[in-house]
Amino acid sequence: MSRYLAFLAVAVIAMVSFLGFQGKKSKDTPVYVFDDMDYQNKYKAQGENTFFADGRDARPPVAGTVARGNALEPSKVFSPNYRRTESLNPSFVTGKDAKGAFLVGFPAKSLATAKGELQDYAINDRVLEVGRGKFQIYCAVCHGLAADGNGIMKTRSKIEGDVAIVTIANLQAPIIRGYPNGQIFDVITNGKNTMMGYGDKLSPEERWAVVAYVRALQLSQNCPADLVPAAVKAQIK
Amino acid sequence: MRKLLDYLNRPAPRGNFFSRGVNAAPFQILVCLLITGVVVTAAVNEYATNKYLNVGYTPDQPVAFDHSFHAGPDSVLGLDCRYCHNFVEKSGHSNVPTTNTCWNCHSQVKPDSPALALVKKSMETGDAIRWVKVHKLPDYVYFNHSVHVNRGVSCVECHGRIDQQAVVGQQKALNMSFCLDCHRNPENALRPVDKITDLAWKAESPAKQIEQGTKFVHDWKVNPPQSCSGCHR
Repeated sequence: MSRYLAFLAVAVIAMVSFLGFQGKKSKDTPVYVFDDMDYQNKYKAQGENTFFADGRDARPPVAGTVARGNALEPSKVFSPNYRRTESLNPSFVTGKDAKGAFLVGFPAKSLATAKGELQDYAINDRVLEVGRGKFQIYCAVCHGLAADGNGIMKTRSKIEGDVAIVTIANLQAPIIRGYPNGQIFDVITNGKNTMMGYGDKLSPEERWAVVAYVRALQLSQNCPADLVPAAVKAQIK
Repeated sequence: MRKLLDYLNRPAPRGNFFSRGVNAAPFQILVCLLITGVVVTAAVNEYATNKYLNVGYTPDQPVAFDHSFHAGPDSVLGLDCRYCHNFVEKSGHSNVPTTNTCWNCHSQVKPDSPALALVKKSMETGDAIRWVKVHKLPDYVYFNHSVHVNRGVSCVECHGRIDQQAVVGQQKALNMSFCLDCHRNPENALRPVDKITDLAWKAESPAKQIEQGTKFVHDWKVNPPQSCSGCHR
């Protein structure tokens, strides 16, 4: 008995020293004794694929492909009357009017439809809230929370000695305050100078919301006295 | 123990075929089996679980991206998770960022650093950077990121404090009971939607968490599925 217990103790010590405890860091791919159907031969988002030369599951659309929208009913998508809302209201996705000039204000119609009619586009609290969220995630990194061009990128560039320090735009500058809304929308979509476009990250609705929020920030830093609420005015005095 | 063995090994009447030691054998076998059972149970409990097999999986990545430097309010740069994982709110799949996303900043900041050589090459050739997937679910589990983050389930619930990790490793078990713990008691995990990427966020107290969690469950009509087809197809 004592011999067996000694053997067991040695076995336990060997097992623990070899296998360690839970949470041990390891670079090895986890072991699956019975992998059942854990790994299936199917295409997955951003998956790897040895069949295609570029090694990706995701296939880029063939040149000339026209998007048919995201509607779920095939009968609707493939009907001859189907129109993508983007094609009905191109200004909303380009920021330009029919003649190719930048929209000065916000687009009159949105991409949302009801009974086949495009709905009016209006800036409200909800839109500004979306704009604030997106601005603080994507824009404030360079342009700063107050849109004054003092984001973390500028601070780091100073430390690292990179050029971003001179190329980051101060959105409070008079020239940018004078941009039509459509031009700000265009810069968000396609980028400008050293800034790359954010059209792949933000939907048209979100980009217009960001434009609205940028306008709000510009107003906040250049607020005429008659727009300041009386209570705040009293505080300042 | 000694007395017990002495008793069992007491002198036997004459004419016995077996040695005295055999008297204690059934007892000894029983004790050995019991101890062996305890050891095997403990070993299975420790090792035959995701908590051992998957937690701690920390593979080397092709580019040594340091989350603790880039991401989270307490980091040097303070980027929001969604700056790079930008489709997490809109898609079931939370994307690994495109090379473009890296280059938004790194075209200006340290573009020629050897650490970024692969990113630069990817930018020039269009070849994907082959990031190594860390958090794997079985292919018959259909987890939807957007459904969770839009209902106040933070990244931290499943991924842990990524914002403190230089190299990302799996921190939670991510097995089925892990999912069900939360699906049965969602009020323990829900937080205000604007705090989902603030990984350090905690309610003022556990009681407060339950209180506002219960409110969120009610207000947002949170009804996590517990049926098979909720997650398996």
